[in-house]
Amino acid sequence: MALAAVTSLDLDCFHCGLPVPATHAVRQALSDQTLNFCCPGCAAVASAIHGAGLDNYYSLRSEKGLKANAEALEEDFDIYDHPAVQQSFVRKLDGATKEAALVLQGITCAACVWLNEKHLSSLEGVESVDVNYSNHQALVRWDDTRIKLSDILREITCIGYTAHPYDPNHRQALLNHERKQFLRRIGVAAALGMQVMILSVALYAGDWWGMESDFRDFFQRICLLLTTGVLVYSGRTFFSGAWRDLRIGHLGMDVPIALGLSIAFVASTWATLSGSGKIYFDSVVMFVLLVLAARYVELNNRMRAASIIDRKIPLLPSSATRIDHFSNTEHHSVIPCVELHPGNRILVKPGEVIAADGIIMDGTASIDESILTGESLPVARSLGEKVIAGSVNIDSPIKVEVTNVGQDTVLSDIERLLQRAQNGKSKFTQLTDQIAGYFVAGVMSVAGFVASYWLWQGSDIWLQATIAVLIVSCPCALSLATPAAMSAATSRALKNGILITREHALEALQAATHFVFDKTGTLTKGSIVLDSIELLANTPDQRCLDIAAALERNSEHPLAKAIVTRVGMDSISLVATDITNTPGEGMTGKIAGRAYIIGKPSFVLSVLDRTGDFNAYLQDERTTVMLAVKSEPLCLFRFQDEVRPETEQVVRMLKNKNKVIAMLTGDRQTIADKVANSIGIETVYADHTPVQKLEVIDELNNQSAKTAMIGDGINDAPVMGGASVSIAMSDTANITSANADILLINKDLSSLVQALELASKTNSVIRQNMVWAIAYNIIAIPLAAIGYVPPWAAAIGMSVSSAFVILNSSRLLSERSV
Amino acid sequence: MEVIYLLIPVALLLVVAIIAGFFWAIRSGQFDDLAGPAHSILMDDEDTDPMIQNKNSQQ
Repeated sequence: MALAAVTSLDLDCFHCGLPVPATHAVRQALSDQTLNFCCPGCAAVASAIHGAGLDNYYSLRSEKGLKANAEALEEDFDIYDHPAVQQSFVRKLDGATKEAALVLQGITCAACVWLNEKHLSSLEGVESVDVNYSNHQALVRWDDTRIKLSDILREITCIGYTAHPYDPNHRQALLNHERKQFLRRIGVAAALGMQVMILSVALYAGDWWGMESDFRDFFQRICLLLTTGVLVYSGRTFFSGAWRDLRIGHLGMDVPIALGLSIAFVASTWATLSGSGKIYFDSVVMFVLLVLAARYVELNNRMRAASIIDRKIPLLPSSATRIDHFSNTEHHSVIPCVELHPGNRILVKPGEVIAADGIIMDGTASIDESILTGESLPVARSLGEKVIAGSVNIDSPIKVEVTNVGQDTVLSDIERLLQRAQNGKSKFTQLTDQIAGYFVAGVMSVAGFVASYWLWQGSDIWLQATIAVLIVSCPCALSLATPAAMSAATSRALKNGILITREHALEALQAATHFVFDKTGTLTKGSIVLDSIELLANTPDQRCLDIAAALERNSEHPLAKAIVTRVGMDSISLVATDITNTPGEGMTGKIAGRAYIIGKPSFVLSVLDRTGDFNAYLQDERTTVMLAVKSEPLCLFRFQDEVRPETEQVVRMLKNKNKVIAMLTGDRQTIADKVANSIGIETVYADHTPVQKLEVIDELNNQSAKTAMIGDGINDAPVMGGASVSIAMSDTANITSANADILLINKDLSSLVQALELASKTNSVIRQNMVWAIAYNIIAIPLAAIGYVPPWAAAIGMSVSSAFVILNSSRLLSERSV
Repeated sequence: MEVIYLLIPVALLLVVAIIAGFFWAIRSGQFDDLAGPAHSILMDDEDTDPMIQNKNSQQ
């Protein structure tokens, strides 16, 4: 089949679909046509796929591949052949056969599964490959004498995926075990329960038309036997749950279930053995089956939520390369990560996951922090800058001094914040928990009252009504209403780079009426761009730019970088010589024999000795740079903090939702007004100190406005504390100190709108859940008490009620929800 | 009708066999991935035959 099935007319990379940079497109002929690639890595991957005859991948896939990184192709996988390293994720089967559990990164559609399985199983020595589409795990079996694990991993990289060892201690494995146990319980309850049903139907028919008592007794005894099996194997979980609840003096939802089951079972057993009275074996097995099924669905939802988090939060490598110095020679040793300590130096090779937080001591590299931020472009980090555990070194080796390991890393902080939001007990949840406790107590007393009332009346429906009340009441719908929705929502949010750290955050966000933005770093990028050039002589502005760029090309100063960026590093046409740098002031240099000076206006003018003439220019020292030749100032560059491109749209969308928007900044009025005008914010509080900022928020709060404060979370921490919900555009390095309810870790302001939409969706789901839970119980319990609900109908009603809450919450997990 | 005393125990034995089969299926991972195999049927057919596979890449 022809590769042309996927259009390659546009300048998107054939493999990963990212735009192809016009300046250095990679073109490569595959089969009969030339295709465009964004990088040599993608081209290599495509040709590996083509070479293996797996072109089908390109027609079958439903999503574009991940951008390959060329350097990963040269990654050193040999370490994975070490028995010590293999210990945690490789099993020895008989003979030389081994089996490794891997997690594949980059699986986006079913075609990826196919591609991996096909490609790997075609390798000599690989016995079987089994890729799980749901959780992206791969089980690979191979003959260790014919192929090495490192070769297999290399091959996976060759076709554009990344394989990590799978750590069985992971939460997913625990949930998996729980899930299998559940399936077995459901299977037993269903298989035995069906027999009970069949016999019960015969018994009901016998009640109607008459039945020999021998047969009736036989059927009832068989039912008793089967139901005992169901209760002992499948229903045990309710009894142990109830026992656990009672021991800690708490009325959980297992208590009425266990009580209802016991009463029904004991009464039916008595009826069977004494040969008189009604039996409820059918209701018992049905109830066990349905409640187990509802809980199984809930467990699956939790697994989905957990797997979203697992995919987002990477596994740290199990080993690292430590650098030791012995008598001035560097010594590299591979050690397990648990032996790493702060102060150690580690070598991180290209393609490796950084094992600990640290500071770069040597080298410059592009670091892919996408796992933490959702940002797909790598960021450059160099000497003295921080790197975080879990990010991937893309291109060149770096030496890192470890600052934090294990539980102290930013990655662990993220996990903890996430757990706080998911498990955190907001006042509301605590309240519903308490209510559920009272509710169970209430149900028990109602059941007791119902039993004694009907007994006193001498009615024989007392047993049926009591069982029905215990079974039909559904405290779980009540106590699941909020947590089920919250856990789905937080997982969903994280997928989009939104980290919700407190449970009340979504509720408060939706209620917010006033959105107050900090300027620097929030509405703007916090990075400087060249705004305008003011000419002071006859030299044209392009010429001034060229001269300035030539002088500044090697400078690290942010303003210098802004000039070079404007011109473009590759299009600097002039060459400056004799450059001398006066740090913090400016620099001088010669171009074509003429001496130029560039730098702070005060510095330049003092060199020219013309300080008196240009006093007007000495004000905005922070944002202006002057260029001069000999004794003549040529021009003045003015800089500005660049406004985030998505800002205007975000402001407009918030306005459409009738939110009041204001800007709150410590910057000067003129600059603030300019930014505000360009993005359509009318209310501007400029020149405000942190204390004044807090006063503004307090004032708004006093006017009974609900405020959402959006800032960087560091400098404006007190202000954010004053707002009813705080949102931080957080740099990953600051996650711990950013004291906000919601962190936009992808540094994309448009996530704010997504978070808002998710918030309103979550809140309406919670409200629906609560309304349902309350309405159901209010209607069902009285009906059961007056004997209108037979036990089997009660079993169905209760399970449908919890299933409604669980399924309704799981809508938040789906792709379309944001 | 006395045959029922035979048939019901037989039915129970069948149920035991079904449960045993189900337990085996769970243990051997039949329920681990419920999404992937649905797609795999779309993909496997052509390229097991090397001739067709060559043809594919030549087109």
